Amino acid sequence: MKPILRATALGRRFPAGEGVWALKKVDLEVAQGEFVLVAGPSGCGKTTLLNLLGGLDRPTRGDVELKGTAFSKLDESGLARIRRRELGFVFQFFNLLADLTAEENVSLPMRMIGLSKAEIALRTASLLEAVGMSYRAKHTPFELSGGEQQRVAVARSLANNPLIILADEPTGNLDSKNGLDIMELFRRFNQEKKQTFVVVSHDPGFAEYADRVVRMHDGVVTTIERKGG
Amino acid sequence: MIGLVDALVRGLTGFLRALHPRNLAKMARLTPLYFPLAARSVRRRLLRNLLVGLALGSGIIVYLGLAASFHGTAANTSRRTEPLVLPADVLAFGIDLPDSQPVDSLKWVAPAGAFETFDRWQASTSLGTLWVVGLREGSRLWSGDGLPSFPLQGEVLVPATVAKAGKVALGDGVKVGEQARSGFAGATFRVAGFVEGPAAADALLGNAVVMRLDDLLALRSGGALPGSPLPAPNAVAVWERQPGDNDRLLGRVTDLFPRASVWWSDLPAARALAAAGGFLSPGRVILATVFVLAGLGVFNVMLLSLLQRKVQLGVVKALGAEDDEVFLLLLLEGVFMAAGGAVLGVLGGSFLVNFLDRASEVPLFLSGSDFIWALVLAVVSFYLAAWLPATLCRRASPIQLMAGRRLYVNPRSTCAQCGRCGGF
Ligand SMILES: Nc1ncnc2c1ncn2[C@@H]1O[C@H](COP(=O)(O)OP(=O)(O)O)[C@@H](O)[C@H]1O
Ligand SMILES: [Mg+2]
Repeated sequence: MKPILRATALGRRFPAGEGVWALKKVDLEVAQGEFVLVAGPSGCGKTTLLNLLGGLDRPTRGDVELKGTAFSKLDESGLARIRRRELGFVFQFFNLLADLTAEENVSLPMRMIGLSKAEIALRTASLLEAVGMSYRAKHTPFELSGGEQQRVAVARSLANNPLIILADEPTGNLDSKNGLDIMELFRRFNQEKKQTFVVVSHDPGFAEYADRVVRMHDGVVTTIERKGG
Repeated sequence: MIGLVDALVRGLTGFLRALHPRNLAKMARLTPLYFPLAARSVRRRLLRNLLVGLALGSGIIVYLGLAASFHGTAANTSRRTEPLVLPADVLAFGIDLPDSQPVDSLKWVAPAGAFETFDRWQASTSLGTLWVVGLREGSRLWSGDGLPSFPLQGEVLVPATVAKAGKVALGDGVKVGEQARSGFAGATFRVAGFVEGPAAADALLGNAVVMRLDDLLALRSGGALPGSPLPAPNAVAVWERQPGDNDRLLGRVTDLFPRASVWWSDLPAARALAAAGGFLSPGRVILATVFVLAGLGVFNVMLLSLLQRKVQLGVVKALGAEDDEVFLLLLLEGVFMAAGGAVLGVLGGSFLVNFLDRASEVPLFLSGSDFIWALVLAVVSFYLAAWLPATLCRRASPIQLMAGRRLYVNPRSTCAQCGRCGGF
């Protein structure tokens, strides 16, 4: 299958000029509808890789291409536009906007891309329904448990109908029950809606959810395991 | 050092770039999206934001209060002779003292804005020697508390004690004028009421025959005639309550008293301030300090409120908000506060000045330029308070913000790598 996301010889050094290579040389392709799990010990460069794939950070060398658009050719606004239109993010610390209700958090990405009010209302309701959070629509993040917040965050990441959802340790701040619930949600969207996922986790138990497990060590990809392969 | 200069230059060019019509149009387009967000953010931190507004507002209040008293003292620098110890917001008319001052030095009365017209003259009356006060209807000196209604044409009010001693009743005639060898020169007025109660303790009204200014002018006009026993005023000062308001009166005064030098109204506030000192007078230094302190106070809180929300703003960026949009978001919050503070400050300042003016003998008043300067204060504070935090955030990358990293004025230059200033 033709990849929608491709990283070539990706490297990132901290700090930019003379520092150490947190990510040395990573090549990675993600196909439409794929569920990729990035695993590896803490500090091996998983977050660095995901940030680069999401256009949140600039590589020191190499490039990322999303549907044929090279990130290196884009300015900051161009990258923001890619994030706004093509990508969804789920973070370890949920990172809902504290001033907004669950509903408003979910609708924000849609407002950013200028959907109509009616469309936003409809879509927000169905997304909250899909993650089982309709009954908390009017609540602010402070009034929600960690698991509930992360469900809302998942709904938010789906709001702009992204090509790919990038999730960095989405279960890292949840107990195992809630963590599994979130992974189940991911699996459901992956299987029912053919939603593409790149999920970072150091939990080896999550390998079963993925089509492919990318193992990293010390800034390089060591092995790529395919399900059933 | 080079990093700092670099940052300043970039800041300036960035600001100019933000003013580009294309960018302004973009901001106008985005405002409907971010306005409610900014409003929400301000409302969610109501107490803190009220305090910011209050800091700015009180800066303006103090500024206005100080400005008013500078005008007052500027106008008050010249010596005040005993007979002129009056509420300071009055128009002096027909001053006739042994050591009359040239009119140009009549700075003791404050200029334009809140002034009244009156005439005060120690006359001979059928009740003895009394002050005569001429007032215009609606005069501020006419408080109304415990006073009978304002006299009509040909009527006077007399102090209750004087009336009792002289056995005059309502409707009786009282002669007011000047007793000379050739006889009495003056006119007879009908007693329309008595000044008693608290008003009787008033230094001005409790001790005088009060009549309409027009009546007094007519009476005094005899003084302009050669050989008249009435003392002719050699100096006339007319202050206008509103520019143009007193044209008619002024015309009459100059007709009636052609020999008196007329000094009228409308000493511009600039002249009053000039009288208080040069450009760098202590007054101006204090005012500038107030500016800076209010601005810094607002700035500090805005900055703090931004620093506490780094992560949130980073998330907004990660979700695809462009740098300019985050800038706009923070700018809008600043606009809310600056607008609130300015309204608060102008209202509070006007109120304060009004109150102090009533309470003090030194005249206090505000000119239009004071309000303009107060608004300049609001804009400068807003600029200081919102623009730097907004700029810091505009330039930081989403992951810098989400990780809560320190922000440097220029994150992509040597400035951030040096880091010796500690950033924000
Ligand atoms: N902004 C940064 N500045 C300096 N070093 C960094 C920065 N971000 C990450 N690193 C370093 O890069 C390495 C990889 O980090 P990270 O990608 O966060 O690892 P992981 O997510 O796999 O735990 C670590 O050694 C970390 O200390
Ligand atoms: Mg990590």
